[in-house]
Amino acid sequence: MRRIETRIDRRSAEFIANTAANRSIAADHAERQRAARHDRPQRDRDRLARQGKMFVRDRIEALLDPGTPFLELSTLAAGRAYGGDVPGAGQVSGIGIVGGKEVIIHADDASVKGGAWYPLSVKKIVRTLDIAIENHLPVIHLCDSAGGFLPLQADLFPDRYHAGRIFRNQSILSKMGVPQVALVLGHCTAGGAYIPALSDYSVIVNGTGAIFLGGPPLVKAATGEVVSVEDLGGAAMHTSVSGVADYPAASEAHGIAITREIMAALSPRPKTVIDWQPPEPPHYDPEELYGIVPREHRSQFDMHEIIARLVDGSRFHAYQPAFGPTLVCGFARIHGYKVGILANNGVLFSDSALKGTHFIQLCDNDRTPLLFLQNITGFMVGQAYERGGITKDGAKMIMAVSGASVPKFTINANASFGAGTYGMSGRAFDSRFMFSWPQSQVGVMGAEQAADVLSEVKIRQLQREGRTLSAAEIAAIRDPVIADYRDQASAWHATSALWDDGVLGLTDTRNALGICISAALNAPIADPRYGVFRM
Amino acid sequence: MSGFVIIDGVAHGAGLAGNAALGFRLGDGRAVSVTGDTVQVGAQSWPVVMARDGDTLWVHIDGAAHRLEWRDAVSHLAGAVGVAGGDAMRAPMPGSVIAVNIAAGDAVAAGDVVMIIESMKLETAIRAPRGGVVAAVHFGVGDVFDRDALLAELGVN
Repeated sequence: MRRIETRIDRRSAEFIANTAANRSIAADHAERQRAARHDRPQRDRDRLARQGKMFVRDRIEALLDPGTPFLELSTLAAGRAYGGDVPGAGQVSGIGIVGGKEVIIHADDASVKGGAWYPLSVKKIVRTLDIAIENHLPVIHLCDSAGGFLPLQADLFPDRYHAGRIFRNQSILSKMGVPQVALVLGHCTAGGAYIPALSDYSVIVNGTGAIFLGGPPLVKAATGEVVSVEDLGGAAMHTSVSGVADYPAASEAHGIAITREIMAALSPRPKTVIDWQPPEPPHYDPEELYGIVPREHRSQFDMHEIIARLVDGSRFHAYQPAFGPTLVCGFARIHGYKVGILANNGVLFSDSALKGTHFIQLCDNDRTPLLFLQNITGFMVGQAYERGGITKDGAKMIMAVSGASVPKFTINANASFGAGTYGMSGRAFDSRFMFSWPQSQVGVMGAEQAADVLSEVKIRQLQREGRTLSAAEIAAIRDPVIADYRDQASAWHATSALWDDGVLGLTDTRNALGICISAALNAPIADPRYGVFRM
Repeated sequence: MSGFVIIDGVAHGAGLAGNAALGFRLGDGRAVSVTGDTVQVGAQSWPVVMARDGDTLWVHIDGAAHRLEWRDAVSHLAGAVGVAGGDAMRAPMPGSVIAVNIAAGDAVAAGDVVMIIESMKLETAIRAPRGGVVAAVHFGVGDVFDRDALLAELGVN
């Protein structure tokens, strides 16, 4: 494959201004992550110390194979919910290597509200287990939760994707033959008790670990029975009498060591083989991404320049380079794995949608995973395009995106709007992993367009009542809508609501994708098969 | 033949031998291997001094410097038949012109921004497909155009 020839002028005012703006966003991103990971009220730190418990991140550090990478997911989940009091939604989730096997870790963070499950905590755990199901990744649960946050139970208990889904997903994983190990480091009460019970292996720490459907206060209220935590659901009872847990551990460190031994003892499972070559770093410095991504959302940029800083050797084989050029399609390698890339260089037209549809099928037949790099404001509008059947061509692309059997990966690199989000494998289309760049925006339409549509509706409504609006009155309608939309469209909002698997720094993207592709290959790839394409 | 070695501006069809960046076979079948201080062509060899600058290799041999450059087949042949680049700068989508940076007669380098257009709330830079002289600019600031409209053209230098 040939190297992309860059057209970037590193000394241009544009490049320098973009670099300053994007580095400042990167610093903000780093600070948000640091705060979500480490800033905790002192009383919560003190309580953990009193109980002799490790901080969740120290537990994970001790669990992972030394010197191996850990890809944390959804670090900033719930960052903009619950008044900012539940960093990371009180959960840590991520992909790492334990006992030589790729695993996904789900860990309650007891330093946040005692590890209570908020609605977004449940969403994050369910998503973690969905990732395990889709990619056949073994799961390690680090259990230390106070249970569901009762004031918000209506938003976390009854619905299809609420707490019950955690236990359903656990059962499905076991049925699929994907192992799970639970390490009980605190109380697992009520529903939480089923996490170790539904795991293939469970380890419980003596003294701090406990499992019960109802804790001592609830038992006393229900039946009058007075019983200690240890006698009701402690390590000794469960590992020697009830059989709810398998291994007693003398301490957290001992429990982590047992968990590592269990993972190491599991038979290695063959991974799906796809085209791979020894990796080569990008020819162009990925740091240059800071100067390429524009500081103004309205400015278009050439996705070839982005691809050149993500892929091996900056090499790219463009497919149909002269047809439908607003969608760049082609082959490249990331950490040696061949991928088919679809990247936006403008709005989608019929020809670009047809090209994308064809290319997805080529990749599926060739067993080549797909990488979507979104910078899409939507499909072209207007009479000529409707007459040309742009809707049915968009439908073809959506049919191909939905039906592709090979793993898909999506990065919102700058913008993801309207039907373009669908054609470019947005969240609803089951990409194995989906990440946002920190300056990116997502929404049904851009803030300005939304404000125009809404103020237009309002103006017409008032005109029917015989009133006209001054420019100031129109601005009074329009400006708050723009502010609201911008806010909701931001990556911080998207990742808070778990519309993605996390915000990725520009220069971290290549390594994160390498980990994700490798993780995805734990699952087999089904034969290509599609629905009906409207011709 | 997997590509071309351009030696002092003259292209020789060549295949890379193995993964060695400095070993290739010329179109006439002779093997060329360039090691640290020796160039060998067929059975003959010469002592050399070399310097590398990106994809270009400077070889100093018998008192003269020679420039060697590797070009893959697709890039080399595209250039030879004039497919890469071209003269026309066309509109990727319908829209309006918000800035024009050039006039007929101006010299441009490949990749220079000649015009900025706005469409679907996006500002897009129209760039020169190759270096050359601008033959014509067909739209001014504020003008509206359709998709594929010829915005500007390069001419013969």
